[in-house]
Amino acid sequence: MLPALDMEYYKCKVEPIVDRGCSMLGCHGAETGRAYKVYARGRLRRKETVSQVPTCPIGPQQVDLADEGTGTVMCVGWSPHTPMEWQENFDNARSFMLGLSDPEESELLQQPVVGGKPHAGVHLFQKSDADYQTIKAWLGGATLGGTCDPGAN
Amino acid sequence: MHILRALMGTSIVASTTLLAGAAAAWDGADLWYKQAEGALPGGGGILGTGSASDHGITCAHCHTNAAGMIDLQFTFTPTLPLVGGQPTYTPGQSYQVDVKLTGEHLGTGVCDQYMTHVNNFAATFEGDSGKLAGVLSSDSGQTSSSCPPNVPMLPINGTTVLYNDCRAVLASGGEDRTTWTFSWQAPPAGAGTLTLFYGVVDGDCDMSSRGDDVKVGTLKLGEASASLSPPGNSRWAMALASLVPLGLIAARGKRRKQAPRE
Repeated sequence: MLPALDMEYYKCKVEPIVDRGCSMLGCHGAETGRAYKVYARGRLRRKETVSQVPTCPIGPQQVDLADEGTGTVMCVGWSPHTPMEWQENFDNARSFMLGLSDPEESELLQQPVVGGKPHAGVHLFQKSDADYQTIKAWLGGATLGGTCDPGAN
Repeated sequence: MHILRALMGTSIVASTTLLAGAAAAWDGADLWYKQAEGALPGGGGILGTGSASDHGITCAHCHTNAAGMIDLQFTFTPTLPLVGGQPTYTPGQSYQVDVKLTGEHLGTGVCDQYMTHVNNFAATFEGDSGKLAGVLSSDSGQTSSSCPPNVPMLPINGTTVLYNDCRAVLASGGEDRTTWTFSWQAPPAGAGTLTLFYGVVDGDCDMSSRGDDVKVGTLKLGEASASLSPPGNSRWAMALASLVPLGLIAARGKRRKQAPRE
């Protein structure tokens, strides 16, 4: 059973961090080959049928989000995260706390932190940085205390 | 309706004087620093040079499965002389840097009405500190020593821009561009060996980071000692450098002009 962490905190606080630093197609924006996967606008989109954005001049009304929206912010690639994308991103991230009680033991922090595990040479933050502290707080059970408005995301 | 821009690619080609690797970038000059989760998703300040300040992230982390057919050529004026096989800079010296994409093979035809062909690149110089070494200046008027917070107003009169934290020089966008120019003033004596990090993307017309060609690379620049101070753009230096290609970079990308998003 996945840890009971706060989805609203994740959406507003954690997702922007992983969108920026983790979700590249050659990193964790990949359907296969990675233990961690992130769906993000302009990067990897989920395999599901969605409505094309109404102002897009090209394409049918219903399109495959992964095929038409991955790696682009054009048309449907610009559309907000779908509910399933939010859920999978949330589940993928919180699964790193399975069997743990200390967030700092989580691979979600140990891999990208400077001085941490190799992580293909990519290290995004120091332990003192706000991004590290934000993820640590969420993994430790922090809550947003309300409903997240992710805006265009 | 929003002005849409696509991700772009960049690459770098080696030249006879100074050649290195390449990297990729975004096609709109404002996209480099736009929030990744924002209304128009951007790079969030990760510029893809592969430098320490970019956390080791390169253009190739987004522009995947590149064919590897492009390169990027850097030409420094005055020339960087080779000392012991390594190019060297003179502390405090200002250099004009001309960058040329070679091997472009994508998007050379006509894109559809919603797309624009844009080639881009990004580059920076860093020392062991992981900070910008020296002073960068674009050919559109910005300098890292007096860094403007925002992207220059359109139309940008130049091939490169600097803004926000000015830690890397960025392509300014523009259609069908394969050359870029900027200036770099080397740091004072004592900075030691520096690294030029760069990336270039050769984009196609599909407005996606998939399918582009990319080159990323680095070039080590030694610090000239007093006794080895480079002879500037002397014939000796140019002749020597021309014999030892050091790297190549090329880059390009494409973007749409205007297309409705929502």
